[in-house]
Formats: sequence, structure tokens, C-alpha cells
Amino acid sequence: MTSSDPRSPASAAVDDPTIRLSRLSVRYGRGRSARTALDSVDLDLNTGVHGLLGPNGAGKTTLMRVLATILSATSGEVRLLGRDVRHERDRRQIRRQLGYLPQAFGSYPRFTVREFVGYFAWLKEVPSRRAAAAVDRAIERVGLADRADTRMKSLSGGMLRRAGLAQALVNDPDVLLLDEPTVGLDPEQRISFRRLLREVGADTTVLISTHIVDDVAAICHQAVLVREGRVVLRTHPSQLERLGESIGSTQDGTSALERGYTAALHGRDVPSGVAQ
Amino acid sequence: MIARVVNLELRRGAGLILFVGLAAVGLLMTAMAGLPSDRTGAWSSSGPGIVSWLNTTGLVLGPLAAAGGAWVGGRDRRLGVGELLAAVPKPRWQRDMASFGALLAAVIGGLLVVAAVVTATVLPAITYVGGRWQVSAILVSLGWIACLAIGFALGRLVPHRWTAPVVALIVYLLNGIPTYLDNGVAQLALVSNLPSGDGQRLRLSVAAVAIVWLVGLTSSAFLAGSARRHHWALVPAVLAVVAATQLAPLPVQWNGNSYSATWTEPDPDAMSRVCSTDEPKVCLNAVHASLLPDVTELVRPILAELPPGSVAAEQGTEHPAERPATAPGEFAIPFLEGRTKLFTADVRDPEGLRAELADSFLRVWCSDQTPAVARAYGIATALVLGRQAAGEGAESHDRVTARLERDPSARRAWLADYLDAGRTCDLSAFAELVS
Repeated sequence: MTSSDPRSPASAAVDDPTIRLSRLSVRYGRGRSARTALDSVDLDLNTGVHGLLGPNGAGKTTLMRVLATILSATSGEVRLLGRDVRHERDRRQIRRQLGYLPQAFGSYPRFTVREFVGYFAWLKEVPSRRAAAAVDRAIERVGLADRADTRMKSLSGGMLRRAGLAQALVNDPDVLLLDEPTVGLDPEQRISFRRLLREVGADTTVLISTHIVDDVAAICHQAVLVREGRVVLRTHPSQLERLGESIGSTQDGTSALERGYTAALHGRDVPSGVAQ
Repeated sequence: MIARVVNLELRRGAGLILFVGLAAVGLLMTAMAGLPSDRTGAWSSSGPGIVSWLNTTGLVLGPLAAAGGAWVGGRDRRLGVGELLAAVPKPRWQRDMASFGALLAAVIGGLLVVAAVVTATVLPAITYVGGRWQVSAILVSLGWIACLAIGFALGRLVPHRWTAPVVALIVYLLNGIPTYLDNGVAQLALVSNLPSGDGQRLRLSVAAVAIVWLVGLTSSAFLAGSARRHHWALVPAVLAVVAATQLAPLPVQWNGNSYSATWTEPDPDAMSRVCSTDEPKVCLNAVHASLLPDVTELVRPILAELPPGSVAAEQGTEHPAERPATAPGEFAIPFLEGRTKLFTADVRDPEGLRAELADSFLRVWCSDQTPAVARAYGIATALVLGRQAAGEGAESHDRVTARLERDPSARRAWLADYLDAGRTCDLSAFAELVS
């Protein structure tokens, strides 16, 4: 591989975004039953925490799965960390630098938290000389150090989610994909989780798919709104909040951010966003 | 790192449970088989005897291994871990190697525990270690591993919680049914199909084909379940099919001693002679050397009744090939297969063996079995074994029998004449003996 090889990471421009989607489309099924989950999505994401917002069925999970290299695009190009996910060798390299926490995931009930995270360290090809330290650090970061030797089957839903996050972090990923990560967390856990993501987002590209707009406001540098398989808006969460403040009041029990999100989703102009 | 992961799989996966299960069931089968009963078997206190028993346990333990494989094979999808695993760089076959490796260690461990306990139990009685027992042991191990791999692949392809018990049942039936069909397909059974027989050893050429069959099947099953491209499984599958086409048409020649002559050949070392040190010398085949004290004790009182030098020719006529080579003054006792109590060096049914031994010396092989011949045989048996052991036939109460019992020298002379008459089939001599 030479530096002129477009697949070479060295050839990737220094300014290349960590995630680059070009005219990405994903269709399920064939013929008349075919359904378009993602439709010509163009998206560049760089270091920082990004929130993926959208109603149910908008295509958020499909997008996360494509970025996690689990699902192949029907058409278009997906580049992560300067590599094309279609190439097997690149895909393996991308996965080494990827952390992924799906919306629903199972675990091995007889494993302890340490064993579970350690197992994923092995699966993610963390060099064995630093695997033990990486496991301890990941467990500590998610606040499960005192439960490291507890079996997975004994964990509560929130703890299980944190153990899942620990496995996503164990390889110190450059791209972290979290699908509904705060579901099941109590308020205190959510606060520490937000703190953790802010810390991780300092040098990692984090994409969070969520329904909870407060999470986006609290931790994300950018909100990406998806509707019917298309990215309809990219903006700073504060802009959404501003839009919400301009179109309603708190009397109906909604926050300005929620109103702004709903309005943006239905095509209202955002004060200064990057609409697509 | 891989060793640590295999260790983790062994402890936290089903590996440890499988190991304990296999060892426990294997030992239970061993204990049950060792209980006093009329059970007959091809047990000999030898290396091949131990392997033969492990082969027998495979009928139950093979399906158990398959169930363990199916349970672990379907684990990731059953537990919903598939989404997490799909995003990791480690190729699936490497992950599966760790899981399968742990199960493999469990299966081999279970096999070794059963083998070790049986060996320790019979160790003082082991007198023959040969007969290519290592080749047999490899085939037994590969059969268990093939069951494991098939279960693993089926569990991977059909990850349902009922897959494991269903797979166990299917493997049991697929291994068990062919043996009752009495045709070549039985030779493809993965477990419990190894021919065994005292004084026999596996033919290397057939064993090699059987190894290719089992390795091909195992590799094919593993690749079908774990390879990124399932069609890679075709390569070992072709090998397995080629081997199967060589094995299945082999003629099944059951010779009454539970082995197929096409799979085995005589083992000269097992058939070599082992004799007692005291006179009269009693000789057995080396494979039955552990029985020498018991058999000597049984045969000497019989020989004491018979004139020296008059009995050797009457022995072993049914199975001359199995008869130990003898020198003058030595008494060769052949065909003791199935005569050892399971897992001991003791004679099973010593009274029965005593009667058979007497019969082997006294049986008359004349084409004309006249009433006089039959009556003389009955008298001879009653004299050698005693009336009670000889049964309640008319000869037991025969006046000739009664007269000879009272006079030892007349008895020996009568038996010498009887054996002479038997050798020459002199019917008039028989008539005179019973008159």
C-alpha cells in the first residue's frame, strides 16, 4: 500500500472527517415490499459528541448499524477514519478503533463484569500487554469498579448498560456509537454518564442516537435530525433551543428544546443551522 | 491471551459443565457395568480393553458432547450478543475456536477422567498393552470430537433452546440405528462402532480412512457453522465423502466375537503364549495373561484326572488360529474372550468355564454320535467334573460312574481309553466302555 493508494490511511487528508457518508442509501427487502431506510444521506462528523435525533422509524438505528459496519449500504459510500468500510481489511482496522453499544444487547450471564469487558478486549484485539489495564480503566470510567467481580446476571438494567458501555470503551475507540445509551439509567447515573461522554468526546467522535433531547442539549456539540431516512438538519443544540423559545411557551409542559426539535423536524427554519 | 479466553470459556461457558457431565455419566456407566451381573463383554485386562470400554461409552457420551456443542454454538444468538459481536474485528472463526477449544478440552478431559479411573481400577490386572490401542484411542477421541463439532454447527445454525436436546437425540439415533441394520452404513457411525476383539488389532489402512472420515466431518461441520464463507466447508466435506465411500462398502463380517474382520487383523503379540511356571504347564494367549492364575486353578484338577499326554490334541479345534502354540507337556487354553469379569482380572462364571474346559478335553468329534458315544461322554464328564457339576443326567447315576468313582486307578484307565476311542472314533470301543 502506498501513500497514493486511496485506501491508505496515510493518504487520507489530514482534514478528513472521522465519519464521511456520501449519498448513503439503505433499502430493506426487494420489489414492491422494498422499504428505504436511509435515502442519499450525506454527513461528515468530526471529533466531538454528536446527537442523532429523530422520530421512531426515521432510520437512526439503521444509520448506527451502517456506521458500526454491521449493515452494508445499498448504495453510496461510507468512510470511517479515512477507510472505506467495503474493503474487508479496512473494515477490520476500523472495528479495532470502533466502540459500539446497540440499543438492545445481551451478555453472558455467568461472566463477571471484568471477564465480560476482558472478553471484548480480546475480541477487539487490544494488545494483550495492555488489555488488563484497559479493562480496569473502562470499568472504572463507567463507575462499575466496585462491581467488577459481580456476575452479569446479578446486575441491574442500568449497571448492565454501563457494562455495555465499558465494553465499547475498552479499546479506547476513535469512533464511539451509542444507541439509546441512557435508557434505564437513573438521574445520578445519567449525570455521570454525561460527564463521561464529554470527557470521551474531547478526542473521540461520539455519535449518540437518542430520543432524550435533554441529553443532546447537555453533552452534544451538534444535533443531527433525521426524518424518513434523510438528514434534515445539523445544528448546535442551543439553536434548537432558541427556535423552541421563539415558537411557544412552557405552559404545555414542554421544554424549549423539545419544541425546537419538533419544529425543526417539521421544517421550521432554525436561526443558524446547517440544514440539508 | 487466547489461553486466557479458552480458560474463561471453560469456566464460564458450558465447558466445565460438559466436562463434569461427561466424566460423571462415563463413570456412572462404568460403575453400572461393573456391578455383578450376567453381562458378557469383550473385556480383557489390556490397553485395547480399556479403549474398547471408552468406545462403548461413546453411545451415550457422544450425544452428550453434541448437546454441549449445540448449546454453546447457539449461545451468542440465544443471548442476543450477536449485535455486539458483529462489530468486533476478531473474525468469527477465531472466536469460535476459543469456544470450541474450551469444549474440546472439556470433552478430552471427560474422556481422560473415565479412562484414568478405569485404568486405575484395573491397573494391577493389566497384563497386555499392545494391539494398537493408541490408534483405537485416536479414533474414539475423534468420534467424540466429531459429535461435538456437529452439535456446535447445528447450534450455530439453529440457535433455539431445544436444539441441544434434539441434537443429542438425533446423534444418538444416527449412531445407534445403523448398528442394528447390520450393513456397511454402521461403519460410518461416529461413536461406539469400533470393532474390538481379543487378539485383534485395527488394520492401519482402514483406520487411516476412518480418521480421514472423522476429521473431514469435524472440519466440515466447524466450517459450515463458523467460517465467513460457508462454502469452505465443501473441501473437508469432499474428503469425508471420499472416505465414506471407501468405508461403507467394506464387507461387514461379524464373526461372533463382535468385530468385523475387514477392520481388524490378528495381533501376533496378543496371541503369543504365556505359561504357568509349575507343572503341568497351562498356557494362555498373552492378551488373557491376567486370567492365568484362575484358569490354572480351574484346569489342573481336570488335568489331574486325565492321563498325561493324552489331551493336547483335543483342544482348540473350533478356533485353531487363536490357539497358543504349545510345546509337549503344555496345555493351551484358547478362546477366553468374554471370560473376564468387566474391569477385573477375575474369571466370570468360573463353574461355567470349568465345564467348558472339561468339555474341550472330553468332547468327541465323531460323525456318528451313537447312544454309546453320548453315554460315554456323560460318564467322562461326571467323572471329571463330579456328578453335581455334570448335571442330573442318567449317567450321573450310572453304575459304571459309581464303580469308577470308587477306584481312582480304574477311573484314569477308563478316561485314557475314552480319549483313545474319541481320537479314533472307535464305536465298538465306546460300546465296551459303557457296558
